[in-house]
Amino acid sequence: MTQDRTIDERIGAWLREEAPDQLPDRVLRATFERTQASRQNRTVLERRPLTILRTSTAVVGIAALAIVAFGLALTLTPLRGSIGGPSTSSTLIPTPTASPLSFDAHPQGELEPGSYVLENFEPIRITFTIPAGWSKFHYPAGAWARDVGLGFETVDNVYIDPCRSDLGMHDPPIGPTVDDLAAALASVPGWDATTPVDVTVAGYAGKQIELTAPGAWDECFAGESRLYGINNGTDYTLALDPREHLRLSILDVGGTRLVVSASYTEAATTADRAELQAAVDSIRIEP
Amino acid sequence: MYSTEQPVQRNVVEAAQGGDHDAFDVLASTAGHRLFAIAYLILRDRPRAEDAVQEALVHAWRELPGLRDPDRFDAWLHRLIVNACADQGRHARRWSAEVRMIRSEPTTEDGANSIADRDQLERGFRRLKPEQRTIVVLHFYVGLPVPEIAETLGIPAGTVKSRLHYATAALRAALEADARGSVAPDGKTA
Repeated sequence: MTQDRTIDERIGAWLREEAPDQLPDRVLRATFERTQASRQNRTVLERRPLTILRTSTAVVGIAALAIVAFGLALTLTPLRGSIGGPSTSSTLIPTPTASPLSFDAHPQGELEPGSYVLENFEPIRITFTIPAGWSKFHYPAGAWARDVGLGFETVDNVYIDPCRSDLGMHDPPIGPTVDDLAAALASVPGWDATTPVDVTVAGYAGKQIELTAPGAWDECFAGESRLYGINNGTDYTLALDPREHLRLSILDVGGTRLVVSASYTEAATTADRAELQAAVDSIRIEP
Repeated sequence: MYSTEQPVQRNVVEAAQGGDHDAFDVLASTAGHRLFAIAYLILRDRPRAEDAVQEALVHAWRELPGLRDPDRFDAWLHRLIVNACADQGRHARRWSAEVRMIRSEPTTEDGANSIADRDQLERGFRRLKPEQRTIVVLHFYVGLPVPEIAETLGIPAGTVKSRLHYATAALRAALEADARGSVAPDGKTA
């Protein structure tokens, strides 16, 4: 029967079948709660062009970068070096809030500046601090702003070839240690990788490696360049921007191999990267 | 096409632009279901689609005063939902990772696809890149012509045509592969 129908008709019919009928009322209620509490923007008349691939976030003013620095006399040990460049001693570090907000309970979207606690890697409790202009995403758990992102994930296995995800991941899977993962990532074909070096984040030792995505992956299987599987096989990480940088700190936190992913695109400015570095430096981890 | 909704009234949009919450609630309630359908089709994930709709609508409220032509409200919303989906995908890193189980129950809709069609379209669609999925949804579901998609997304019409051509060809290939019976159970072409 279907052979007589045009491809356009078949695609259209399938999409109509697949489309849900109703937006749940709770979504509209939550939306209205937010709009009731939100002012309209009556000053910004010029918008940045919106494209599919590039994120568009609310305009983040200079104020976001003018967050008062505070002495990190906390229990932190910062990463060696900074994100995407030499260390900037004048890095503007976000101010932690006295009582961290629950990151897990926060809806997806814009985050208020301050400290957040992430508890979905039980029993590990992660606290980090961000300035204005950052938003939440779910997988990997983390936050982003403009062209930088900070995520936390547990990596299960690594794809044999990111461009050939149809080949799957290593079988048998890579070993469970920090060194196992660092070694596997260091030899991922198609991505540039630095030599893993020792790192300490929030008092936990591990290895740090920086991976740079390929310039294109249009010809890859499924049009993707997949790097590794995360969070008990529920998801995977893939290249999103050509030449995107992933600085991964692989830590052993009481037997859990936790990966702190600090990412930035080629478009990230020095200020963006400094802001990301400050967020990384603010991380605290409690087992 | 996607809906039998009436176009929004210009005066309702203007009232919302002036800060009238009730007017905006009318607009959001009217558009919400359509935006949800678009977001779900692109993202293939209900929770993320719900998040995308909420973000798009909140963004719409905040930026509505800057909408120069109230008659373009619907097109503007399409842009917002597409970008909200892109944000969901980009930062969730799982545009393509969402692999929903394929439904197996028969449809009762007239003119609907066979189960085999649906399976193959699902697999073919899943393999498309996010920008290709978006264009497929805007064209075949929302019913937008190429120039309007180009304007909505802020990309050249040629790019839209190219992506649409590729996506359609890929979906056709998926269906033809099924017809030949040469598709393995895991979706990989033989």
